[in-house]
Amino acid sequence: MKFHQLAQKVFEVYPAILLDKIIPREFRKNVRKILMFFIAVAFIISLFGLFPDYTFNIRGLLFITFSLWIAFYLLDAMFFSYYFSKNSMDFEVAKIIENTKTDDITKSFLNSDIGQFAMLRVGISQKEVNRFLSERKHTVSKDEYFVIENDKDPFITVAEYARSILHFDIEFAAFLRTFGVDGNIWKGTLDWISQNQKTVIEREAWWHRDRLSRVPSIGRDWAYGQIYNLEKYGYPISNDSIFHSISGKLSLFEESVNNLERILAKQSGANILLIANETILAMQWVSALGKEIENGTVRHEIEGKKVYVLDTDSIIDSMKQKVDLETELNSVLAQVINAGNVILVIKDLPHFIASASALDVDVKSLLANSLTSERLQIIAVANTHAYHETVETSHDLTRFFEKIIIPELEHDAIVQVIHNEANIIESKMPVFFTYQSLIAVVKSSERFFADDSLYDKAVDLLNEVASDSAVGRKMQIITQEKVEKVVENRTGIPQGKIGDAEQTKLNSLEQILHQRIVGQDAAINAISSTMRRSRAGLTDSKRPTGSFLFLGPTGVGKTETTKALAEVFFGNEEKIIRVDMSEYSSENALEKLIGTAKTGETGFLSSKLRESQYGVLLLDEFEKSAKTVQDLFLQVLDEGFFTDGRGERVNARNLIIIATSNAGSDSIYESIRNKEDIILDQQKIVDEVVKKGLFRPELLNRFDGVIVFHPLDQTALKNVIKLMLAALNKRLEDKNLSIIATEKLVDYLVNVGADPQFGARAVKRTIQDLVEKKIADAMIKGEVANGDKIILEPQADGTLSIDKFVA
Amino acid sequence: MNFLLIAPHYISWHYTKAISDLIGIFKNFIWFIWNMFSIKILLQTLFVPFQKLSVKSTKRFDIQDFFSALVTNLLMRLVGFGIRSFFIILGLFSLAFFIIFSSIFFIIWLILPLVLLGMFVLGIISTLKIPNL
Repeated sequence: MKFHQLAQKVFEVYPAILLDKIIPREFRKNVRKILMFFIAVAFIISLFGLFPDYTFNIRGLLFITFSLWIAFYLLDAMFFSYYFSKNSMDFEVAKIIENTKTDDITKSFLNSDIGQFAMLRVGISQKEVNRFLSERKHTVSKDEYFVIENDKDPFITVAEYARSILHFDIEFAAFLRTFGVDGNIWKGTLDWISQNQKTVIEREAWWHRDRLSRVPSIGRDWAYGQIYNLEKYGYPISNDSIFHSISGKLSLFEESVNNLERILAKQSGANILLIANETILAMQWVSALGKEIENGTVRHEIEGKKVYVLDTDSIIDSMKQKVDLETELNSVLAQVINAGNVILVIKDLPHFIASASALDVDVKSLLANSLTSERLQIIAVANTHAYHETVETSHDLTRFFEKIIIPELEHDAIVQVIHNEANIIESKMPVFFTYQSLIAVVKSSERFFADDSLYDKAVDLLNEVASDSAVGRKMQIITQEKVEKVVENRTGIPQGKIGDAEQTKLNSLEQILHQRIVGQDAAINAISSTMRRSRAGLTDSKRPTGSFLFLGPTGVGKTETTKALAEVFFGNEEKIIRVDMSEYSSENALEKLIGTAKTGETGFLSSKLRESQYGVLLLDEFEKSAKTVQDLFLQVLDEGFFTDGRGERVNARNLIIIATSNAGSDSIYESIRNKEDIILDQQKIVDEVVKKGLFRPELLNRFDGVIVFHPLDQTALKNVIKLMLAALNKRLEDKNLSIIATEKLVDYLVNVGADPQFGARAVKRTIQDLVEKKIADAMIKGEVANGDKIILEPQADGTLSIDKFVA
Repeated sequence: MNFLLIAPHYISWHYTKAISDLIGIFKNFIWFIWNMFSIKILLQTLFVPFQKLSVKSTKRFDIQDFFSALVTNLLMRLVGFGIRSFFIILGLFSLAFFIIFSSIFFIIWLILPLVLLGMFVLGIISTLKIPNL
């Protein structure tokens, strides 16, 4: 819609705009309060005849103040009348258009209340805005501008108006981009602000139907039975925090509520199983239904029903014996059936089934028995993974339910949901969230704390960031950087803009790795470029930080590379969770690894990852693991998490996963023997591995890189020996001793120690057996003393003799 | 005197849009009273035992037991009927009161601008009157 067309529609609300301009809303509110005070004073004086001589004048004052008070009230009534009437655009849009006096769309928007506030929300100061306005070269005129409308809904929102500005004013868009604000952030920010403004104004409209409906009615329950037990172990949906977080967003759930109503209105089998990756989503649906029932805008079949949530933890915690729990649960269900007006909500059905089974109670059959009564209505919620594992298999139970699968909430939608949480925090603490900080909170929660509901984690993090920042009474602006700082402190993983030191580290990753690893250029290049991509945020945040399969014979640097990566990315080469996969080849391998609900045992991997989910996960001899275990890693590499034996999510998104394998060593040796180019031959080796059935192709494809390490040649081995001798010297520093790594010694060690099958490991053993032993003996015998420099001379008989000098 | 700019808009609103809005608000309140006293539900369930409380005769062919259960249940129905009738009547009274009140309010609404002006002028005159010292 063109600007002049919009301007013509402003008349719909013009009186309210004019009123706001002449007497602003806040001012009207304050005047009303002051007048009320005067009315009260004048009334008391005239009632008690306090100043008898002035009675007439005081009554006159009472008349004036009272008539003014009513007049102000009526003006507000007019304002609300226009504000709430069905218009073609948001009131704020009309206000901006009416105030666009010059032929400069962007400036008028930025000067409006909402425009100024939006800039604050994206963390851009007024000074920066002014600088932009004074330095820009072009302006967008009224003739050039039009609002890009939403096809589905012709109503023009503030966000649509502002987003269209971004479309036409390229300079302004570029200015925002320099602060990291793209079209989505811009739209989200304006949606948030305008939603908040609407909520504030709607709060005053006590005469609206949805407000009046909140007053509890008399006698509604008299015709229905009592639910004493459910009241003890449950609560009405209106007491759920989610219920309040969706207020003002009911329209988003219109279709969802319709779906629920359709099923609930059925004569029989009117039970619903909501399956979602995030149970919060399902609870939002249920809350929206509760709200519609409260507003009286539902089908008559479910009119006046009570939506009650059963607190499953509370009922299980209060019972010690199997019989007690069964009796109590049965009585809850019997009362619900008898009451006839209750929709029972079970928030996490699989969890309920699992925890009740600890007392040997079979919730599934208990529910199934009660569900034969058509008067019981249940909405059960289940997490997708847990549903497949616990509920799906029980046909006795599922046949009573109609399943609805709720699509996964994109993180944009979660950002919208946590707006409300941010508002609450802002009202309690002197903090101000930029919109980018909310996005950072959700993204970080998704990446770093994904083992629980994303919503809960995001809310936790939001609160943590706020309490970390709120110091004293001064208003603190919470930015993306502050969120990243908190996440960094919690995880130890560097966040956000790549700092100078890290930038250097990443750029010279090849050199850093080469300080510890000899040769293997192709492998190191591949690893380095993958890690750089990951740090720049280009990789999928739902997958592990990096994943590699290292193929190659023993002693060629696979483990050393793993250690080096741990040191570079997690600051410590000890940050390795090593799993010897040859121990996981039996039939119960998967249970050993991820635990099982049957015995309640936790698996090795799940408990290790719970202790620390940041570091390098080293899967040694991966080819020896059972097929079921390899299948588990199909999911881990793809989605960055797995569900352990107890049905809980375990996060693997902050790991660099390295699987090592000797598979293909024969082919590698063959390539070397035939003097083929090992780099070109990489594909041949991988094919060989697949052909032998050691790994499935889809598993290999899931890795970020399959890296082939080749055997070390003589030169490489010599370099390895030099590195090892340097490491030995480091250890000898304490004793103030050192060995001189002469070429003769190095050649000797290569000749004696080299074994193509064991690579560097063989020469390491040789150094231990010959060099270290020799020096240890010499130290014990007192042949070497503090400050000595030792030269080991190979002898004709194959032994080493010690020569020394003092530096 | 910007204040006066709003006056014509106000007057036009007062006699057009405001009237339809008022009718909408009256409807909301009638709906509210009707629901608050649950008149429809109470009428539909006028003779249902209060809070579904009832007893069943436990022994077979025991006349005394049968009659004692019958009397108790009849009593629960009577209690239910009594309480419900009371609230239905209360609700209907409230409705009637609201309708009368809103009709009067509506008439006042029509003359409200004049009444306010009158009050204001009268107030000025009274305030400025020199007291009899």
